[in-house]
Amino acid sequence: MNYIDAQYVPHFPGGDNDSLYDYLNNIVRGLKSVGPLGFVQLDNSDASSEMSQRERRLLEIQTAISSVSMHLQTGFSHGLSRQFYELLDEDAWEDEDVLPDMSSVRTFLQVLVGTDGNRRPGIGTNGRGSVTAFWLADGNRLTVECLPEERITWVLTRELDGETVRAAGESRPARLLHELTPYNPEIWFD
Amino acid sequence: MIREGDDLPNPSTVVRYVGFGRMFKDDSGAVVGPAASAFECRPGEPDLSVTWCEYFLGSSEEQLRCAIEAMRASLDVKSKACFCVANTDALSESINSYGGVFRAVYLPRADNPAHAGVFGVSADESELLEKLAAEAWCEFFTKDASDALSSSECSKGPHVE
Repeated sequence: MNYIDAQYVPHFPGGDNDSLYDYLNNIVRGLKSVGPLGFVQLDNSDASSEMSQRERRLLEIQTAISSVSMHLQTGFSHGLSRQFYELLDEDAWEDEDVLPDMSSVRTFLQVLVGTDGNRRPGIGTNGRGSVTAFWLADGNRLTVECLPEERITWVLTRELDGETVRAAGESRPARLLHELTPYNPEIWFD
Repeated sequence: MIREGDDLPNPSTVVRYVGFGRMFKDDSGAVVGPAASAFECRPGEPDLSVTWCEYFLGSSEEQLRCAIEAMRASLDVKSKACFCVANTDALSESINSYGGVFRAVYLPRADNPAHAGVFGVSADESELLEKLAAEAWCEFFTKDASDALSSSECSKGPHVE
């Protein structure tokens, strides 16, 4: 079942409980069933058109996360919704940055499904429409930049046999785990 | 005497404003340091924009606080953003180890007289950007940590023209 994490829905433009009810109702009515890649899509409902672009994008992202929650680890969906809420918060988002592209969001979700890890990543952006996923384990850093059209770039810092190794590459979500194999990627995902 | 366009004395301390989105976070959302993307030059900019701490008089902590205040006065600073600190020796070592030519140049601006630029970092050098983030720029200050630094009058040092 698809749902909206109401705790992290942006502030609604009304002021009382009736307005909130109508507002959320409009959002739910605005959900179309399923998009071509299995992601729920929004239409231009009255309620969502009153949001800022940033708020609307947050709602789109949270809806996309919910629509694949059954493929994610338990608790990922709720945690990711909260993380995107914090990333796109007015006190956090740099106004000159390009909002995360929905195609980049889909790439990000494909990375999560493909790595099938137990540990949720931290998230960020490069400011040009990407979604960045961060994993940290004992000082070992893995950064995956999720780009439109199922493209990713990755860079890591890894202690191996007493030496600090750095590596970077470009790939697809489905190939990420394979490319990270020389660096024992289980430290980030298990 | 340091004039506009001169290289900063080595070693110097420089600070960079880094938005929340370019900070490396763990799964709880806690900031643990900068991400590599924090040190990519913006499109059309040949250098990395920083603020030079030793422009100001005072202790190292006061100089850092003054540099942060200079950025707050000249940028639209978000409350969740951080200020990342590096020593030019560490920047030089990292950049030179990847074949770049490091320079930190005093480039004052009307709204930030302590502004400087770091040259020698290319946006397509992912491993260098990661090394800078993990080693050279790894000290950072949140808003609360910045506000807790000792403050001073932020006067210009006599070594700056």
